[in-house]
Amino acid sequence: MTVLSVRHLSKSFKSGFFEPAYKVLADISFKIEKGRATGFVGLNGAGKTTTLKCILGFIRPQSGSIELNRQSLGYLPERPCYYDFLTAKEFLEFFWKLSVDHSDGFEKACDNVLKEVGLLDSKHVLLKKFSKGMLQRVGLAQALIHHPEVLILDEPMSGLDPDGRIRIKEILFRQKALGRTIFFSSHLLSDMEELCEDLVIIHKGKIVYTGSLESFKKTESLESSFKQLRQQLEGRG
Amino acid sequence: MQQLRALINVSIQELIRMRLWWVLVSLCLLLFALSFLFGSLSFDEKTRMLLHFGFLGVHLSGLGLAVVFGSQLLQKELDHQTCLVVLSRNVSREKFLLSKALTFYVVWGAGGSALVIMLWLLLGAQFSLGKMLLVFSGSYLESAVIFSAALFLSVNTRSLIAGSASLGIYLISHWSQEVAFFGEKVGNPVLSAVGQTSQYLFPRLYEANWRSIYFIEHPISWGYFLWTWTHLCAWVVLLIVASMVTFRRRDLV
Repeated sequence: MTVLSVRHLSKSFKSGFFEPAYKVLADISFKIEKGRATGFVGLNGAGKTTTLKCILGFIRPQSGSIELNRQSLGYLPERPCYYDFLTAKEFLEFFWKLSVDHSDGFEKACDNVLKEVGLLDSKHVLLKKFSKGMLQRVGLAQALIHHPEVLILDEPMSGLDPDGRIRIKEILFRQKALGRTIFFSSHLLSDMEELCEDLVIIHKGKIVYTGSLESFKKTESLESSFKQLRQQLEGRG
Repeated sequence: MQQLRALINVSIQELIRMRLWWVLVSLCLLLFALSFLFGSLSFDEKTRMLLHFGFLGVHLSGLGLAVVFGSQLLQKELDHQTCLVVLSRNVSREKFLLSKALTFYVVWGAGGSALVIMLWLLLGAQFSLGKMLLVFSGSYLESAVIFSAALFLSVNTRSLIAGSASLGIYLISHWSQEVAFFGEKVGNPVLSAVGQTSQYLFPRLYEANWRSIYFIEHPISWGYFLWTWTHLCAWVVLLIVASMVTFRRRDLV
């Protein structure tokens, strides 16, 4: 069953009033299946974040369509910037109220999700006192608090120390085991290899591969397969 | 409704924790104190000075808040991208923007009224509190219009430009009548036409300038009060709707 369908998406930006528009996304299409973890790979500037922002409705595409149930969606942005004057509990309560019609069950859900991300001890600590790794985890907690079907994560492990990366990976493994659909972008191919079943590769605004990770890498590692693909694409010009 | 309440609640907390809020409230209280100092220099005009300085303090605080918060509340969310997580939660952009506007109207409505009540007590409760709040309502409306203008401009441009431009709108809206009057008196048709045209292009804030002891001793008629409220509320609605339309179309890169 498809939970996210992107069809013929195109987007151009203009850097100045008299400047010609440059194409960031050129007619991209792909699908994400329910219950599967899908990695979104590409070089810097390939169009990953723009695609995610189009999917989430932050950027209006020039053409194309997106099918996604926004009612049951958890999102973690690339830069963990939140209302730092709130405590972790107040922060989660805010997102609970934005997502759930009633306030019943918040306390339990809050404790469960903070336990899940390993921040139960910091429940009453202001977010401005959190480290980057803790902010990333509380960001993940807000994405999970309302038990969404789909998780969209933009570079969830970027800028984290090895311990932070391991913690985030463990959380994502548990979410995957619970049957959640995960779609995330990352530069860390080794993490992607461990976590994902499917892969979407974007290069210069075009989708160059969509399918299972196993059939992409065949017998090699993801890193060497990706290197080969990049050389082929650059050779093609 | 729960979403809107949650958004307003967080925005109020953000606004109250901003240092500028406390700077402006302190500035207003300083003007209250100064009014007592200057008032003691005069035998005849003591009450007039106290009242005028007091209302000036309240008005300047409201104006400062409107310009700064109007140009920063939304812009800050866009710059820090804090709004992205909120907007990913099935919260419409219109609702998000409305929450920012309502936050200012609620906070300044409550804060400004508290300052007027304080002024009323400092004046020994010799005037009717209702009349003083009526006078404040004019200042409140002016701030609401300037805030809405700054918010609209901040959707389309940088906060510094939005703040400066909204201050410009405030000055033009107050001086347009005088420019037209001056143009007529000196027989300059261009100046007169500029003054007349600006009265139709900009909100007529001068109509709500009731910050004087005269308006407490001789209250304005209900008809005039209602006309001013309708006129300025229409401007607030127009600016907020325009902000919503442009914000909905904006790419949050």
